[in-house]
Amino acid sequence: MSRPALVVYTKELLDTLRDRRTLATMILVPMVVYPATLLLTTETMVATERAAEEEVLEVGAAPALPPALARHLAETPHLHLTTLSTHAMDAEEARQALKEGLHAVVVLTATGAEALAGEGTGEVQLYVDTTQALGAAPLDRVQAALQRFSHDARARRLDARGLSQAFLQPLRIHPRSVATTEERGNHALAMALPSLVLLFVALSSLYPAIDLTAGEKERRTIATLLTTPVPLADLVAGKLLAVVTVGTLAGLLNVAAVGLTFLRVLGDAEATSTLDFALSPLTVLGLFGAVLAAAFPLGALLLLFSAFARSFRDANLLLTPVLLVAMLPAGVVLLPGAELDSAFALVPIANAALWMKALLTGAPAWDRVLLVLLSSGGLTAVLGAGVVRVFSDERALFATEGRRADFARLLVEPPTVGMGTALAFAALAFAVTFFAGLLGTGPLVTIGVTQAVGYLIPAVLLARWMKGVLPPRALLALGAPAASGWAAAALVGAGAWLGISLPGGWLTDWMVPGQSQAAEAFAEAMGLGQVSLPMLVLAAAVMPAVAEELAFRGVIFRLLGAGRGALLGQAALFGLMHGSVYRFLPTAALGLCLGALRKRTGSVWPGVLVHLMTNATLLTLETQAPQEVLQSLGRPTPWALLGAAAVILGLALARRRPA
Amino acid sequence: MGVNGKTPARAEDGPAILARGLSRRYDDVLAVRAVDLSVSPGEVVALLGPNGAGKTTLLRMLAGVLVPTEGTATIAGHDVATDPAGAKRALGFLSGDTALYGRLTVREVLTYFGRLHGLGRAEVAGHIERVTGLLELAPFLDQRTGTLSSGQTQRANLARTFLTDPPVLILDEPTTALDVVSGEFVYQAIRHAKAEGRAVLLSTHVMSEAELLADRIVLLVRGRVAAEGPKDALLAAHHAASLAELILRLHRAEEPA
Repeated sequence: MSRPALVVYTKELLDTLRDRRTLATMILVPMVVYPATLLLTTETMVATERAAEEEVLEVGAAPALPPALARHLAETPHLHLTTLSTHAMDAEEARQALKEGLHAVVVLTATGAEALAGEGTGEVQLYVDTTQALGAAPLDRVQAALQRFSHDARARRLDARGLSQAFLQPLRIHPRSVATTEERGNHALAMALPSLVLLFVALSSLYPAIDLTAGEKERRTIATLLTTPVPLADLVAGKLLAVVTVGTLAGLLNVAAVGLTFLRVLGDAEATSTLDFALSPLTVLGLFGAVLAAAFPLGALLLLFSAFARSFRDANLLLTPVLLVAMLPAGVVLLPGAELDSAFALVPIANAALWMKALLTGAPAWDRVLLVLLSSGGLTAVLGAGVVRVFSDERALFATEGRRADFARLLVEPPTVGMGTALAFAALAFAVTFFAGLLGTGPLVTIGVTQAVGYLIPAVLLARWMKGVLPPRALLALGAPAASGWAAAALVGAGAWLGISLPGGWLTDWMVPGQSQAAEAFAEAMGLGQVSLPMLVLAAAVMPAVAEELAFRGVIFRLLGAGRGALLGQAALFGLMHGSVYRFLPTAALGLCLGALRKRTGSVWPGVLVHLMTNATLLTLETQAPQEVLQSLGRPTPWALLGAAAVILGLALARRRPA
Repeated sequence: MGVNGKTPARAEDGPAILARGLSRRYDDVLAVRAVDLSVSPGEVVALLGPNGAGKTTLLRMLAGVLVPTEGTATIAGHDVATDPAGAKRALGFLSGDTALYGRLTVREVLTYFGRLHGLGRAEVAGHIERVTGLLELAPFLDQRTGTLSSGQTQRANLARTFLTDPPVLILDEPTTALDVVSGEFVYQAIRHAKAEGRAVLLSTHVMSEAELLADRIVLLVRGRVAAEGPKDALLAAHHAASLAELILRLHRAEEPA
């Protein structure tokens, strides 16, 4: 992180922690108020229940009950039986008696008593009033006493016939779950924890997000801040990090307080014996990562809207619906069968929730986790760029009354040259290529469409959009290179696959075994074997060479500043956006090489040639080479050194066209 | 204020503040219209004008907070549009209605802004010591700014403005809501800055303040520079008895944009 951003971050943390309102809502409430209220309510409930149990119940019978039943009730503890009348009371009379202070009225008619004495069923009316002080306790207790009597009577009847109790119970069922108590505990946790945690984190981020933007506007400190020589992106980064830190810590504190209080309350009951939790330190670390994967885009979203708001109150109004909608995807964990597949991995908030669920019920696949991080990071960049945009509009910043700045106009203004725009472009391209890849309509269409809609069209559109800021030729580096540039490209192109991509693959294979299988699976899924070579080269070499070069060595490299940092940044993005752990090293290394060529020649075209040659080599080998050759390439060979030498020589040769 | 013997870095040969054809439009309203303005090192220029004349808009454009619709501006030779960081580094900006972070102490606020200007911790501490002596901040240096009186707040704000030893100062109505005693601190600071060769552009609607401090007065009326020059020359040229009279007359003469 840059130093100004760190300075902003430290100050915002200090400022937030000094705020009594923050301390109260974030620390005092969870640590004291939750446990206190929860304990108080449960204790009151327990006390009331106990009192209800010990209260002597006044039970009236009308008419008098048969002696055996009367004796049974009279012997029940805390129960006093009186006979009310000689006739069977109706509901209205019973109601009257209950209003006069009785807790229950039992009515067994003469026919009922007869049936009971014989082998029939005696129908008993049990009148209670559950709205009275003792609630349902009289009903429960008198009913229980009557049932005990009924049970004993049944046993006596069976005895009289010489039958055992088993006569009435052909089956007795013993349910046994094979899940361990820990598994059951984790499963319950997987259902409840993700949405709970994310909700608390979102709520805890709300206040700091407003305080650091709309609050700063309302307190009239913003103008001074903007006259400092700190780039807006650093200001926003510092503020975002402060929101994420405070929001995450306070959110987790809230969850912990609620959880511990529940455990304490349940601890008195026996529930803990059937639920247990097994959380390894690695799982906990993963959960924390998942929380952050949600906290960053959420924080950026909250900042975006509260930066736009005119005042604290305005921000509150704006953010309530935003937060509500943003948190909806967290509910996905409750859907049966929803898991962290590669489509869900790209849906913000839902991906964090499902990542947590996966951590609690097993282990999430690492490539999915990578997708989650890419998606969250990309979204954060896009939203962060939006915050920078709002911060650069004086009406959004200074107007604390009157009409709001025109949000729509703000968003259609061309973006500026900088990291925010570069990351936003990369994030968009990644999402589009990913979803276009799901089309699954044959390899040629898929590759062609993906490259066109993911890289080529966005790059051209962005260049058009930004033409007031930077000429399209400059953004895309369309100028022709010097002759030496072409010679360099030919050399690098000849050596790049053998000297760069292939060794990258070996290195990956050595670090993360399974690469070769993945490559074969990829080729098979693409159906590469079924297409004629010229068509394949056109779709999978020419198209990507042009589209990806314009996007990465053109747009992204230039937006990142066209310096050394840009060189590394675009290579990392190039590697990441191929969306696979196994392809990262080879593609990033190739990206570095292509970026260096772009930097040294000042043109995107030599890279296009290299990219074309590299892809064509790979495709030709994959489809034409005999199996033994392919297998021999899976192990390091000294030939790679020759390729590397060609690349180095080529790069050394590359020169910018003299101006 | 070069107590440490450092002379402020000046714009090479040119004016410290230079605006050419600066305009700003808000929707249908032209708040500032093609303003040309220059302030030399060691010069105090007062920007006078009625409310809504565009003073704050002009100063915010010069400070790089607001993007001009047209025109260019440089601070100490740095173009505010193409080299905003360079321009802001050379600038101390103070507005009468800006507040400080109420939950931080004066020292913490000064440290924060010093660090944002790219100074190291030790450097900032040195600068704080210097401005503390100059503006007599010692009694409340470690007090939270939210608990200060308005005079103390403005002294702390002045300290923030002078902290980084900037060659250019832009002060937007710095004495608003200040009593005589606190106002005197501001005047002292401006005189001191002039003596040290800093360029000061000051906006105000207090005539006496402008007469007292400024080498040159620029009258801004309905977004346009209506007249400018040293006070006496200005009054003589327009046959006016006072600045107030002149402003009123110019305001009535100028059609709304």
